[in-house]
Amino acid sequence: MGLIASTEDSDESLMRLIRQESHQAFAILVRRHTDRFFAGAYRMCGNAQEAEDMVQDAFLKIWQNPDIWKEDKGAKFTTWFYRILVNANIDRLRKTQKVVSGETVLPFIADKGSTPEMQAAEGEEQQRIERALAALPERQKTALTLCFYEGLSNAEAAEAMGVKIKALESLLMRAKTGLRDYLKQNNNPEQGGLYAAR
Amino acid sequence: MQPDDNELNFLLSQRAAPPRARADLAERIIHAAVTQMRDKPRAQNFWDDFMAMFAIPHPSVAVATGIILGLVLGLQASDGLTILQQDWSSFLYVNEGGWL
Repeated sequence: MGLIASTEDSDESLMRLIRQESHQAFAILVRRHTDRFFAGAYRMCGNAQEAEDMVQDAFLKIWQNPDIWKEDKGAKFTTWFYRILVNANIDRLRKTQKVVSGETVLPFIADKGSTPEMQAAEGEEQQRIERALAALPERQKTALTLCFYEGLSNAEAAEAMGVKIKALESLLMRAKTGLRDYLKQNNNPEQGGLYAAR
Repeated sequence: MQPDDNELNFLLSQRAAPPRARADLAERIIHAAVTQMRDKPRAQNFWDDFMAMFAIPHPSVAVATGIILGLVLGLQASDGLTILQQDWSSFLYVNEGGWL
Protein backbone atom coordinates (compact mmCIF):
# COMPACT_ATOMS: atom_id res chain seq x y z
CA MET A 1 0.00 0.00 0.00
CA GLY A 2 2.95 2.35 0.63
CA LEU A 3 1.13 4.30 3.34
CA ILE A 4 3.82 4.08 5.98
CA ALA A 5 5.10 7.56 6.73
CA SER A 6 8.50 8.33 8.15
CA THR A 7 9.83 11.39 9.95
CA GLU A 8 12.47 11.56 7.24
CA ASP A 9 9.90 11.97 4.48
CA SER A 10 9.78 15.37 2.82
CA ASP A 11 6.78 17.61 3.37
CA GLU A 12 5.66 16.95 -0.16
CA SER A 13 5.86 13.15 0.30
CA LEU A 14 3.83 13.45 3.48
CA MET A 15 1.21 15.48 1.64
CA ARG A 16 0.92 12.69 -0.94
CA LEU A 17 0.31 10.22 1.89
CA ILE A 18 -2.20 12.54 3.53
CA ARG A 19 -4.13 12.48 0.28
CA GLN A 20 -4.40 8.73 0.84
CA GLU A 21 -5.77 9.41 4.31
CA SER A 22 -2.58 8.62 6.21
CA HIS A 23 -3.16 10.12 9.62
CA GLN A 24 0.37 9.15 10.57
CA ALA A 25 1.75 11.38 7.80
CA PHE A 26 -0.51 14.18 8.99
CA ALA A 27 0.79 13.81 12.55
CA ILE A 28 4.40 13.99 11.38
CA LEU A 29 3.71 17.10 9.34
CA VAL A 30 1.90 18.81 12.21
CA ARG A 31 4.62 18.03 14.76
CA ARG A 32 7.29 19.18 12.36
CA HIS A 33 5.85 22.60 11.59
CA THR A 34 3.45 23.69 14.33
CA ASP A 35 5.94 25.83 16.26
CA ARG A 36 7.24 27.57 13.16
CA PHE A 37 3.81 28.34 11.77
CA PHE A 38 2.56 29.44 15.16
CA ALA A 39 5.40 31.97 15.36
CA GLY A 40 4.54 33.26 11.88
CA ALA A 41 0.84 33.49 12.67
CA TYR A 42 1.57 35.25 15.95
CA ARG A 43 3.74 37.83 14.21
CA MET A 44 0.92 38.46 11.77
CA CYS A 45 -1.97 38.71 14.22
CA GLY A 46 -0.26 39.56 17.51
CA ASN A 47 -2.43 37.30 19.62
CA ALA A 48 -1.42 33.84 20.82
CA GLN A 49 -4.93 32.40 20.96
CA GLU A 50 -5.81 33.63 17.50
CA ALA A 51 -2.48 32.40 16.16
CA GLU A 52 -3.19 28.94 17.55
CA ASP A 53 -6.63 28.96 15.98
CA MET A 54 -5.22 30.04 12.63
CA VAL A 55 -2.64 27.25 12.61
CA GLN A 56 -5.13 24.63 13.78
CA ASP A 57 -7.75 25.66 11.23
CA ALA A 58 -5.18 25.63 8.44
CA PHE A 59 -3.95 22.14 9.31
CA LEU A 60 -7.47 20.78 9.65
CA LYS A 61 -8.37 22.31 6.31
CA ILE A 62 -5.53 20.34 4.78
CA TRP A 63 -6.65 17.16 6.51
CA GLN A 64 -10.25 17.58 5.39
CA ASN A 65 -9.37 18.48 1.84
CA PRO A 66 -5.76 17.67 0.93
CA ASP A 67 -6.51 18.19 -2.75
CA ILE A 68 -6.17 21.93 -2.21
CA TRP A 69 -2.42 21.24 -2.27
CA LYS A 70 -1.43 21.41 -5.92
CA GLU A 71 1.89 19.71 -6.15
CA ASP A 72 2.28 20.33 -9.86
CA LYS A 73 2.46 24.07 -9.26
CA GLY A 74 5.88 23.51 -7.74
CA ALA A 75 5.40 25.50 -4.55
CA LYS A 76 7.15 24.30 -1.42
CA PHE A 77 4.76 23.08 1.24
CA THR A 78 5.90 25.71 3.74
CA THR A 79 5.46 28.56 1.26
CA TRP A 80 2.02 27.27 0.40
CA PHE A 81 1.10 26.98 4.07
CA TYR A 82 2.17 30.56 4.70
CA ARG A 83 -0.24 31.56 1.98
CA ILE A 84 -3.05 29.85 3.89
CA LEU A 85 -2.01 31.74 7.02
CA VAL A 86 -1.81 35.07 5.20
CA ASN A 87 -5.32 34.52 3.81
CA ALA A 88 -6.59 33.41 7.21
CA ASN A 89 -5.19 36.58 8.73
CA ILE A 90 -6.92 38.72 6.10
CA ASP A 91 -10.20 36.87 6.76
CA ARG A 92 -9.76 37.35 10.49
CA LEU A 93 -9.23 41.08 10.08
CA ARG A 94 -12.20 41.38 7.75
CA LYS A 95 -14.42 39.55 10.20
CA THR A 96 -13.49 41.89 12.97
CA GLN A 97 -14.11 44.89 10.72
CA LYS A 98 -10.61 46.07 11.30
CA VAL A 99 -9.24 45.97 7.82
CA VAL A 100 -9.89 48.04 4.77
CA SER A 101 -8.63 46.71 1.47
CA GLY A 102 -5.40 47.86 -0.07
CA GLU A 103 -2.96 50.10 1.69
CA THR A 104 -5.34 51.89 3.99
CA VAL A 105 -3.99 52.16 7.49
CA LEU A 106 -5.95 49.96 9.81
CA PRO A 107 -8.21 51.60 12.37
CA PHE A 108 -6.83 49.58 15.24
CA ILE A 109 -3.45 51.17 14.62
CA ALA A 110 -4.84 54.35 16.12
CA ASP A 111 -4.58 52.60 19.45
CA LYS A 112 -0.84 52.53 19.52
CA GLY A 113 -0.27 51.48 23.05
CA SER A 114 -2.14 48.37 23.99
CA THR A 115 -2.00 45.47 21.54
CA PRO A 116 -1.14 42.14 23.14
CA GLU A 117 2.06 42.16 21.12
CA MET A 118 3.06 45.39 22.77
CA GLN A 119 2.13 44.16 26.20
CA ALA A 120 4.37 41.19 25.64
CA ALA A 121 7.25 43.29 24.46
CA GLU A 122 9.90 43.87 27.02
CA GLY A 123 11.48 47.25 27.29
CA GLU A 124 10.97 50.55 25.62
CA GLU A 125 12.89 49.66 22.49
CA GLN A 126 10.83 46.60 21.77
CA GLN A 127 7.67 48.57 22.38
CA ARG A 128 8.89 51.15 19.90
CA ILE A 129 9.50 48.42 17.33
CA GLU A 130 6.04 46.97 17.91
CA ARG A 131 4.43 50.40 17.58
CA ALA A 132 6.35 51.10 14.41
CA LEU A 133 5.35 47.76 12.89
CA ALA A 134 1.75 48.15 13.99
CA ALA A 135 1.65 51.53 12.25
CA LEU A 136 2.40 49.88 8.91
CA PRO A 137 -0.38 48.92 6.49
CA GLU A 138 -1.22 45.24 6.83
CA ARG A 139 0.28 44.11 3.54
CA GLN A 140 3.57 45.87 4.20
CA LYS A 141 3.70 44.35 7.65
CA THR A 142 3.00 40.89 6.23
CA ALA A 143 5.72 41.28 3.59
CA LEU A 144 8.21 42.32 6.24
CA THR A 145 7.18 39.49 8.54
CA LEU A 146 7.58 36.84 5.85
CA CYS A 147 10.91 38.09 4.53
CA PHE A 148 12.57 39.38 7.66
CA TYR A 149 11.25 37.19 10.44
CA GLU A 150 10.15 34.00 8.70
CA GLY A 151 13.19 33.87 6.47
CA LEU A 152 11.35 33.43 3.18
CA SER A 153 13.03 34.55 -0.01
CA ASN A 154 11.41 37.38 -1.93
CA ALA A 155 10.07 34.88 -4.46
CA GLU A 156 8.59 32.67 -1.74
CA ALA A 157 7.08 35.60 0.12
CA ALA A 158 5.59 36.91 -3.12
CA GLU A 159 4.05 33.50 -3.73
CA ALA A 160 2.72 33.33 -0.19
CA MET A 161 1.09 36.73 -0.60
CA GLY A 162 -0.15 36.03 -4.12
CA VAL A 163 1.68 38.99 -5.66
CA LYS A 164 4.49 39.46 -8.20
CA ILE A 165 8.04 39.76 -6.94
CA LYS A 166 8.22 43.39 -8.05
CA ALA A 167 5.11 44.15 -6.03
CA LEU A 168 6.59 42.45 -2.99
CA GLU A 169 9.83 44.39 -3.33
CA SER A 170 7.80 47.56 -3.53
CA LEU A 171 5.91 46.58 -0.36
CA LEU A 172 9.17 45.91 1.45
CA MET A 173 10.65 49.21 0.33
CA ARG A 174 7.59 51.13 1.44
CA ALA A 175 7.55 49.24 4.72
CA LYS A 176 11.13 50.24 5.47
CA THR A 177 10.47 53.82 4.45
CA GLY A 178 7.39 53.85 6.65
CA LEU A 179 9.34 52.46 9.59
CA ARG A 180 12.10 55.04 9.18
CA ASP A 181 9.57 57.85 9.00
CA TYR A 182 7.72 56.58 12.04
CA LEU A 183 10.87 56.17 14.07
CA LYS A 184 12.17 59.59 13.11
CA GLN A 185 8.87 61.21 14.02
CA ASN A 186 8.84 59.41 17.33
CA ASN A 187 12.48 59.99 18.02
CA ASN A 188 13.43 60.75 21.58
CA PRO A 189 15.74 63.78 21.27
CA GLU A 190 17.22 63.23 24.70
CA GLN A 191 18.64 59.90 23.71
CA GLY A 192 19.81 60.96 20.24
CA GLY A 193 20.49 58.72 17.26
CA LEU A 194 18.34 58.10 14.23
CA TYR A 195 16.04 55.63 15.93
CA ALA A 196 16.74 56.65 19.50
CA ALA A 197 16.00 54.51 22.54
CA ARG A 198 19.15 52.54 21.81
CA MET B 1 20.21 50.54 -0.24
CA GLN B 2 19.95 53.52 2.04
CA PRO B 3 22.78 54.25 4.45
CA ASP B 4 20.64 53.57 7.49
CA ASP B 5 19.36 50.23 6.18
CA ASN B 6 21.71 48.32 8.44
CA GLU B 7 20.58 50.32 11.41
CA LEU B 8 16.96 49.60 10.58
CA ASN B 9 17.68 45.91 10.11
CA PHE B 10 19.44 45.83 13.44
CA LEU B 11 16.51 47.51 15.09
CA LEU B 12 14.07 45.03 13.55
CA SER B 13 16.20 42.16 14.74
CA GLN B 14 15.74 43.42 18.29
CA ARG B 15 12.03 42.70 18.13
CA ALA B 16 10.87 40.41 20.90
CA ALA B 17 10.64 36.77 19.89
CA PRO B 18 7.08 35.45 19.71
CA PRO B 19 5.98 33.29 22.61
CA ARG B 20 6.22 29.56 22.18
CA ALA B 21 3.10 27.73 21.20
CA ARG B 22 1.48 25.74 23.95
CA ALA B 23 3.25 22.41 24.24
CA ASP B 24 0.16 20.42 23.37
CA LEU B 25 -0.89 22.44 20.34
CA ALA B 26 0.41 19.90 17.83
CA GLU B 27 -1.22 17.01 19.70
CA ARG B 28 -4.51 18.89 19.89
CA ILE B 29 -4.46 19.43 16.14
CA ILE B 30 -3.67 15.76 15.53
CA HIS B 31 -6.45 14.69 17.88
CA ALA B 32 -8.90 17.10 16.27
CA ALA B 33 -8.10 15.56 12.90
CA VAL B 34 -9.02 12.11 14.22
CA THR B 35 -12.37 13.33 15.44
CA GLN B 36 -12.96 15.04 12.11
CA MET B 37 -12.15 12.06 9.93
CA ARG B 38 -13.03 12.82 6.39
CA ASP B 39 -16.61 11.89 5.79
CA LYS B 40 -17.57 11.32 2.21
CA PRO B 41 -21.19 11.88 1.19
CA ARG B 42 -23.30 8.79 1.83
CA ALA B 43 -24.22 8.37 -1.85
CA GLN B 44 -20.60 8.51 -2.84
CA ASN B 45 -19.78 5.90 -0.19
CA PHE B 46 -22.44 3.54 -1.54
CA TRP B 47 -21.23 3.71 -5.13
CA ASP B 48 -17.61 3.38 -4.06
CA ASP B 49 -18.46 0.25 -2.11
CA PHE B 50 -20.58 -1.11 -4.94
CA MET B 51 -17.88 -0.64 -7.55
CA ALA B 52 -15.29 -2.09 -5.20
CA MET B 53 -17.14 -5.44 -5.39
CA PHE B 54 -16.19 -5.67 -9.07
CA ALA B 55 -12.67 -4.49 -8.72
CA ILE B 56 -10.04 -7.06 -9.70
CA PRO B 57 -6.74 -6.46 -7.92
CA HIS B 58 -4.59 -7.64 -10.86
CA PRO B 59 -6.73 -7.83 -13.99
CA SER B 60 -4.04 -9.27 -16.26
CA VAL B 61 -3.21 -12.09 -13.83
CA ALA B 62 -6.88 -12.84 -13.30
CA VAL B 63 -7.55 -13.05 -17.06
CA ALA B 64 -4.47 -15.22 -17.71
CA THR B 65 -5.39 -17.61 -14.90
CA GLY B 66 -8.94 -17.85 -16.18
CA ILE B 67 -7.74 -18.71 -19.70
CA ILE B 68 -5.31 -21.40 -18.50
CA LEU B 69 -7.88 -23.00 -16.21
CA GLY B 70 -10.44 -22.91 -18.98
CA LEU B 71 -8.08 -24.63 -21.41
CA VAL B 72 -7.07 -27.37 -18.95
CA LEU B 73 -10.59 -28.15 -17.83
CA GLY B 74 -11.87 -27.93 -21.38
CA LEU B 75 -9.33 -30.45 -22.67
CA GLN B 76 -10.07 -32.82 -19.83
CA ALA B 77 -13.78 -32.70 -20.51
CA SER B 78 -13.37 -33.32 -24.22
CA ASP B 79 -14.16 -37.12 -24.13
CA GLY B 80 -17.09 -36.76 -21.79
CA LEU B 81 -15.24 -38.31 -18.86
CA THR B 82 -12.79 -36.22 -16.95
CA ILE B 83 -9.57 -37.51 -15.45
CA LEU B 84 -10.95 -36.65 -12.06
CA GLN B 85 -13.90 -38.90 -12.61
CA GLN B 86 -11.60 -41.70 -13.72
CA ASP B 87 -9.49 -41.28 -10.61
CA TRP B 88 -12.56 -41.39 -8.45
CA SER B 89 -13.74 -44.62 -10.14
CA SER B 90 -10.39 -46.29 -9.57
CA PHE B 91 -10.40 -45.14 -5.97
CA LEU B 92 -13.77 -46.81 -5.44
CA TYR B 93 -12.55 -49.94 -7.15
CA VAL B 94 -9.45 -50.14 -4.97
CA ASN B 95 -11.59 -49.51 -1.91
CA GLU B 96 -13.66 -52.50 -2.78
CA GLY B 97 -10.52 -54.51 -2.27
CA GLY B 98 -11.01 -53.87 1.43
CA TRP B 99 -7.91 -51.97 2.42
CA LEU B 100 -9.90 -49.18 3.98
